Amino acid sequence: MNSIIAILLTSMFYVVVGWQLTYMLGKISKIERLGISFLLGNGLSTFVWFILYRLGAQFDLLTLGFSGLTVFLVSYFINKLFKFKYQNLVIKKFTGLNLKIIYLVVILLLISFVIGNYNPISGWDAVALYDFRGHTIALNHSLKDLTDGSYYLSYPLMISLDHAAIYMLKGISAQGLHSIILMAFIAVVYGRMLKWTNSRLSLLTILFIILNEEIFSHSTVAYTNLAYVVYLVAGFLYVISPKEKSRELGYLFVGGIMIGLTTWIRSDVPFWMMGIVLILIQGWKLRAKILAVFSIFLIYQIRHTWLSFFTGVLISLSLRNEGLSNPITLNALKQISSSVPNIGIINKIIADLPEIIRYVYLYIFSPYRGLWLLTIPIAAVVIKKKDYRLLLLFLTILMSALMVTVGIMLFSATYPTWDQIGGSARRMMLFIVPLSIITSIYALHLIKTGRKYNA
Amino acid sequence: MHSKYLWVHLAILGITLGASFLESVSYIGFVDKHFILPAYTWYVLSVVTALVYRSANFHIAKWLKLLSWSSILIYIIFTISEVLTYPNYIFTVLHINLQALQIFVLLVSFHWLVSQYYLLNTTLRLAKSLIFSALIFVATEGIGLSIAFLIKGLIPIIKHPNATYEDQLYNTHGGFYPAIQLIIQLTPANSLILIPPQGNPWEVEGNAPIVTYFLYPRQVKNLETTIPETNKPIYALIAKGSWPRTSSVDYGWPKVPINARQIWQFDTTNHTFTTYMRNYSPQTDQWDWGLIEVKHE
Repeated sequence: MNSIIAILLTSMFYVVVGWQLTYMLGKISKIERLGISFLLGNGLSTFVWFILYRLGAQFDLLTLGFSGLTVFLVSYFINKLFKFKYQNLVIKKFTGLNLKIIYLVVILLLISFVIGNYNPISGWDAVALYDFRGHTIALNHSLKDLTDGSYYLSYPLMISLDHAAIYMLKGISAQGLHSIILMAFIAVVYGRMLKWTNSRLSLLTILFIILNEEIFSHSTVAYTNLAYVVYLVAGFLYVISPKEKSRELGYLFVGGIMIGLTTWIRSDVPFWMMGIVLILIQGWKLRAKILAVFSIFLIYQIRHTWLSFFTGVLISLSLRNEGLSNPITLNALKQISSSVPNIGIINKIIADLPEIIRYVYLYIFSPYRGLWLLTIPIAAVVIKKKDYRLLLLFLTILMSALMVTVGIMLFSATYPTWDQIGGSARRMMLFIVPLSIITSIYALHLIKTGRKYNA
Repeated sequence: MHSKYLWVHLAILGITLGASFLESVSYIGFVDKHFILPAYTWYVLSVVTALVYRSANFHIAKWLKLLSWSSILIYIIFTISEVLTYPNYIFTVLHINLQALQIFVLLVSFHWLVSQYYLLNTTLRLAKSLIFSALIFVATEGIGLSIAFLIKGLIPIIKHPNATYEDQLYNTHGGFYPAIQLIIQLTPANSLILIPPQGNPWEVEGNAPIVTYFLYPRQVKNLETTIPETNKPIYALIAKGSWPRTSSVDYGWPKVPINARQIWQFDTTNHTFTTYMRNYSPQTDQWDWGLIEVKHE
């Protein structure tokens, strides 16, 4: 019971912190507002908490409260300055099949919360990394014992700081928070799809997403994969939301923050670059170049804040000549120092090409074969309907396929054990599940209505 | 024109579904090996004829709908059974290849849907049918796996609704967690705990980050060759190996004698221990679980 109370208190705190920032999204439903304010509050208050720690404060509930207050006040002043106001989109009452779908969705989400809370935290990284860091931060109010080697800092701190907050509130297990992250995502997707399509299709979209076993099971374990997917896909959805010459430019800003926050969850994957491409396209299309540059600056700043700290720790470890024998440290240093492929790397990639193709097929294509199959009819709808938003969604899927293939090629040339972590590669692509489902249902809606453009 | 195309379409559709069904009860590639053309050729051909044949035929649509829903239901039931038993259970018992059956579900759904949207233009008809059938393809697998996951997740909750988090840890980590609790009871917070090398059969108890998670703030280290020099109180875990042995390394650790102040034999079932005031000897003291208080040299 302690855990449930602590998780709910933490979640409510995040919602309050992020609430003001949602005003810049204009007219949105309460469900979506709850979801996005939780995600923004969660990411930003833990991020400011970390900055305060870097400035000399301790990790405790008081400084977490102060971090939340800072985010809240800054958002408040942005709203005052740009005259953003609270506007509520009223959702019609659910009836018939829609009501049944919403019952099913709510029941599934509650079951996910129950399972997550009941089961002990298990799984290698969940126990030894994310939750361990949460426990030690709650105990020491600092990163003591976590900066002695690179392993404990191989991922940014957001999820562990979430856990730490829950343990400081006397919770026993923080695992239940991960199903709240899924709930928030479902609320965001529902809100977006409701604006883009209709009530039935938006409900079907969230049902399809929840019924994907990989997504559902990840909401009951304390890994970073789900949180990463949630922030990345929600970020994409907000960036591509504004239509041509629209005044809803706050979406670009919120989308930028969400994509930036993905690097506060996992800094080892490069999909934030896709967000930058989308922001640049939107900035150009919407004639909001300054806002686009500012959003990109936010992404850079969030990523840089963590990476500069991590690099500093690695350098101090290497100066102390400790941890250098650790392959994780070496790989991390290599990752930071070498990103430009040379002739040797290109030759190695060419030599390994058949093995790389087999690997991509086995771990990237095959587990999501149905979803990749969807790209064929989506391409047909893109050509036929010439819908700008669908084009951006389709482009995002194509970019992710390209990026992961190139990434695996570079990875294969740098890491000798590259072909032994197929499971990680598969989980890395988890975001393709909601992204493909959203894109295909949006395409279905376009075929049905035959409209060229939807609000 | 109408009837001529109808029969061509029906013939190719029949061969396609037959080929897919054959591969479902054998293996993917069976048709290619035993007949002239690979199954995929027929699949593509049937998609083309379905798109060319644009008239409404409610009888075909009705049968395809029935076949589609039945195959979806069967696929979901099979997926649940497979997850709740063991991998390849359905193939072992019924000789049905689930991956090939999923293709059958996709094909039947596609042909059912394409027969519905005969008023749309060809590209959109193909796109809409393919999107819907691919979503069915993804959802049937997802529903089966999710239901199985829910069953597996909810059964322990229904069986032991009042179990505490501590109870859950005891259930999940078998002898390891009770042994950890006894170590916490017997050692000071500033001690160094030496554990076996990471590998089979000490997959859990030799995993320093995992053991650290439970024993923090105690320091945990894999013992290599010699006892490290430190001012901290040093303890060494006695562990037979909780994982089934799969390598040439035999059960039992430590494998060398260790000078000790005292050693404890753990009874992890009753959460008790027996104390012996003697040095550790691998000949007599390689218990399932225990602890050595190492004598500083």
